[in-house]
Amino acid sequence: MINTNSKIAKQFWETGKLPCPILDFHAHMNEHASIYFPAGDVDGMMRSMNNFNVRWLMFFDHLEFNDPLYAKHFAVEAVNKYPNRLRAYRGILSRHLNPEEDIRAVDENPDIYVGFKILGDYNKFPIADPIHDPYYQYLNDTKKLLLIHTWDKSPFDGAEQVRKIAERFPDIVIICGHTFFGDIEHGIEITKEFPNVYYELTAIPIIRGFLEDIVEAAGGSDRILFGTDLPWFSTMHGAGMVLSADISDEDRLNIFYRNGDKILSRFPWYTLD
Amino acid sequence: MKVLDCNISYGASINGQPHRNCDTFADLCAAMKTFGIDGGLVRASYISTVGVSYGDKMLAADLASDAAKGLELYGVWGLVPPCTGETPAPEKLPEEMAKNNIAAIYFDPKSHRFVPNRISIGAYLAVAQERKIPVILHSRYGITMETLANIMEIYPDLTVLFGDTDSWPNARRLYPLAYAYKNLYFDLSYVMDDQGIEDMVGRFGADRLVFGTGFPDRYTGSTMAMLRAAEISDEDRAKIFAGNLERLIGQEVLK
Repeated sequence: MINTNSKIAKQFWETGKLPCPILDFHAHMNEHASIYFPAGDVDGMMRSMNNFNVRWLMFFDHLEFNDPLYAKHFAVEAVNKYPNRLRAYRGILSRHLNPEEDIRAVDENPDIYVGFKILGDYNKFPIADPIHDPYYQYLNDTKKLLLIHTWDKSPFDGAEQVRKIAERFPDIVIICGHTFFGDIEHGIEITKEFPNVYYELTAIPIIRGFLEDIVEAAGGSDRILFGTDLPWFSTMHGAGMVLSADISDEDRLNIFYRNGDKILSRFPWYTLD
Repeated sequence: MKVLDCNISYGASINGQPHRNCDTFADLCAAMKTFGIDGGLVRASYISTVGVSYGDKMLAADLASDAAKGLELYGVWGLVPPCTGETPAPEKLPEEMAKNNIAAIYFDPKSHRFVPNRISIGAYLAVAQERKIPVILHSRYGITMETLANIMEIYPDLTVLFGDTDSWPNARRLYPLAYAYKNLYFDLSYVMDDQGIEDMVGRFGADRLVFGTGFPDRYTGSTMAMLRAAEISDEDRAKIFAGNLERLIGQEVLK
């Protein structure tokens, strides 16, 4: 039954459904050159969301990421198809920056975008480089979200890069995707130092014990957000980690939706109903 | 619902891996009860870290101990090329396995430093094919996809339980082999793909998938939750959770 120490796990095992909603802060969508996805388009992802009680999902479209020129409209179309379930991150593509156009798109479409996503490792470009400042200043002023791919001690998006952004733009809600996988301890120091920096759990399920380490080192679960990388990885793969981890049911509820609920409550369109 | 896990292990480690280890057989049995796992195929990590003689004997002794009571546990022995005489002679392997409650074998060319081909381990593979002994081939032990394909080409009726630690969805590598070899089974321990279970059941049928967790390296809840919530029939779910492994380990060798 997954975990005899958890009432939530027991309820899930009996019914096959989680007894609470999930807010997924880290997803993608559509084709990726390296991967066959059984359900990678918006309708396939919605099927998973419905099956696994995912109330809201924030995504950055693969197409927009890998074709910086012609593919920005796909994310808009997906959100417009499911306006009560999806929101998008617009990409900060370090080698194809157009801050005026990108910021205007996010600002003029508050029902489409929650903020920006940046992936330094993939762009091979340090995320703290001042070239990105117009984007960060906009997020700082509007208190919208910045999802960062954070990985190990990367010179492009490791902990020191995130620290530089958090120091200069303290009001941005920074979501550290993958929680600096490989350099978690260093990442946790940063979240302790900066109250607007959050962890996100994609990749963490592949090493048993990492979630408990994060909860313990951070002194609680208040800054942990749920994410999946959907359509790469099953929502239930991540949820199963949370269910079987050696943490409390209160921690599980914080991770599945309570922490995310507090963050999304800043947006006029948001409801958990 | 009965749950049998095809990929669990125990054994103290000197290098900090796995991150949260399971040192003893008793610890493993206690953990399985906490996670609601009724039994399965267990491996002593000592087989790969200390050696085959030490690890295989310890596993057999632990399986016969009181700690195993109440759980449906079968062992997995590690084998090295038989020419060195460190592991049972191929012709005696089925008898030795039956005596010691061992239901499957695995090869770890990465730790044991040998080339996994017909010349080195073919005698074992031939016996396994003839006696329907499940052979665990896993990328974590240094079995590449190319090695798997080569072995299956030579021993097309071999019962193989394949696992892959690559977290990225791997259909383009795995599916061609699954279509080609009907006795190739997949350990789900490291499968994370969204709707991956549904996709494989739709293509190959539920009979080819075997539930596993990879404990203590991985969280047991991940595969359990994926399979519990998968959009497949309850009959297929029961097969994957336990029925398929029961069928595999109930073949010739333990009779």
